Amino acid sequence: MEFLYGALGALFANWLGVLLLAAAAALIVITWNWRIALGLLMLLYLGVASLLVSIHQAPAWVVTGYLVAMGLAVAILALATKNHEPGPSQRQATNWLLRTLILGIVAAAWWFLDPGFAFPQFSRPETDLLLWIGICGLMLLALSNNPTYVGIGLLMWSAPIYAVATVLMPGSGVAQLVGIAALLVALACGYLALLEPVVVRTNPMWWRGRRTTVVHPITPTPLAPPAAVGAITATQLRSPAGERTPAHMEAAK
Amino acid sequence: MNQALMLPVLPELFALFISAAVVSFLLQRWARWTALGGAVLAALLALGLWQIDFSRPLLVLGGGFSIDFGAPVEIYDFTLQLDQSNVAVVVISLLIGAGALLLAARRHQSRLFPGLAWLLLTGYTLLALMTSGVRSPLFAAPLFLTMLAAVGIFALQNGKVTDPSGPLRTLLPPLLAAPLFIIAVWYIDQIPLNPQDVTLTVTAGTLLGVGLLLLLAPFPLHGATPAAAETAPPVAMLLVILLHQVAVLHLSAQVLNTYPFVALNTDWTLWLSWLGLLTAVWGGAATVGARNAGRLWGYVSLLDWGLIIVVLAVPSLRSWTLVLFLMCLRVISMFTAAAGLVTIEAAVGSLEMEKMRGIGMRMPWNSAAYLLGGLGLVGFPLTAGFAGHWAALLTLAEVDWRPAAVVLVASGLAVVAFVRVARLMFGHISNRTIPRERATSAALAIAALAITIGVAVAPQVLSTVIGKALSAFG
Repeated sequence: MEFLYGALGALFANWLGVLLLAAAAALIVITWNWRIALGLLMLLYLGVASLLVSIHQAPAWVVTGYLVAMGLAVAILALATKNHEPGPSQRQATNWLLRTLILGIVAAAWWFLDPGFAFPQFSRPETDLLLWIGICGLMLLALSNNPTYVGIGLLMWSAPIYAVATVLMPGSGVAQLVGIAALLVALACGYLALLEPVVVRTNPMWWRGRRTTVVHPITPTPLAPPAAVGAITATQLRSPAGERTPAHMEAAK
Repeated sequence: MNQALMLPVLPELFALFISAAVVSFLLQRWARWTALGGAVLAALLALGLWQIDFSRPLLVLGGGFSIDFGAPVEIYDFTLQLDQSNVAVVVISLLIGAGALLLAARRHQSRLFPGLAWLLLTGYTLLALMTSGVRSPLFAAPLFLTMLAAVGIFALQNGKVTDPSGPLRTLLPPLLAAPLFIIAVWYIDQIPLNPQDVTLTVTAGTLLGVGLLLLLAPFPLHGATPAAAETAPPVAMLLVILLHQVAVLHLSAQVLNTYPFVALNTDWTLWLSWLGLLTAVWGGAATVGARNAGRLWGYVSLLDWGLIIVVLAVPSLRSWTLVLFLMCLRVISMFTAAAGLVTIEAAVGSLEMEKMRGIGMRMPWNSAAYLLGGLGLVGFPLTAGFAGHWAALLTLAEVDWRPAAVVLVASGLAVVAFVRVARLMFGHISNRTIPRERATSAALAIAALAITIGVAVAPQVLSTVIGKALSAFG
């Protein structure tokens, strides 16, 4: 296990690896696709975990426990989102270009202002990476009201918390608490994702037609008894004025 | 052979809590009865804990057995202990739980609610009893609050397919505050190593101050309260929000008492004053546009919470007395309003104001409970909140009259909104299928109204409670 984290550390503990992880965090916001986002989230966790082991000598078994917990959290969110029709809030908030611009402006502002801030015991590049992951998480929280994306944002926010807790408070049990909290957050967000009202497109040309929000499970409409079918059809095939037009007669045949 | 066996009370207490939760989940088919039983149990526990004399913490049972109320218990790296400084918080939490379960027994919200309520009570009691650890247990408090917020979501959403944004937003403040507390504690650990370095104190104070502000959820982090009040069952909203706020106030008191530099070396009190004022103003102004009785209730509770935050900014013992007084009145007012709302929601099927037109003719006691409870949160005369609001405004005006005037204007707007609701509720009835209120629900509403008016007329009845609670906060 140490060897595995060592190999991953060699990949991520350099400027190219840090840049890769930062790009992964940004892609979660830009692509706005929950499948891609959850996959990239696991990559982020793997990257942060390998940095903790290779640079800060965090115990491999502790970090592995965290990765297992986060894997479960991601799986819970994925299953809940997959088993539910996309709700109205799952549509993209703004378009990808605007989101890229927002992230670009934040990155440029951070670069130019250069507040010179570093977490205790962490190097500047590590701090910048953790803050960037946190900012991307906050961006998701700010741009969406959807339980899945808010869940992803909160899980992204939990990655810096875990890193800071592992390094600043080794052996205090806080890192484990972060994992438990993240699991419960994923469970709660998954539950809310399942209970979000869905949108049913009432018109095949949905971009023209209106949308209906269904707030309860759809139950099949009971079929009318055969004897009543003719009466219903005759009633329905009258024009708004009440008379039967040739087109209606044709349809009735 | 005649050795006395001393049993620490905490394992038994938590075993009882967890058993109550398990039994409530197992017997969810009889949710009304489990809720009623839970309410009685919580009230009895609160009464029992209130009676403990910590100068004589041993209770001799006979047969060589005795119970030690003050014995500490180790759980992982944390030490839990029941003592004078936290028993009041546990009692208040249990009373809130008892009241919520009682309301749920009348009109049960969901089969899972009693079990979830016990889980929440277990968690908040655990948090209140945490006294020490490898490091200060305060740093872990936001993480515990996050977990409890996640459990609270299940009670707030209540299995309904509806807009989840209210419950969702309850997760944000504690998780956002968590890293600030963790880094702050690291800086605090460095202070003894380098006592001359003022930057360590200022950095730790700033981080803890901002973390506490996030946990207090003032404007603009207030969104969870009105949104949840609109969609969540009133009982669940009441339980989740009040337990969280009591815990956050207790945490604030612990932080300010343990680390006084948070208030002394930073601008924390200034931020608190401004954000509290903005919260109160927003709560008052937003009531004007509210079209849902639940959301209106949420906004006035926000106004009241804003005032509590402003009073918290006054750094003296008197402010804690006033904060606790306001909090007690808040609990009473919110319960009174919830007692009315639960019945109205059950009868109408919704809390939309348009559907409540004329409901006062069919449900006069429950409508009055909602109106007087809501007005109590505004501080209207002859309601529970009046004495507290009046004292708070006078205290504020002694420092600066302008914030007091602004809060007064915001309260005026909220009163106007309630006058509008009162006219609608006691106006011409539009839906004649609404049933008349039952004797039991009317009796509970009358009891809530009696408590509200009793406290409004003689607020000094709360002085014993506040005096004892001060030992936990002051």
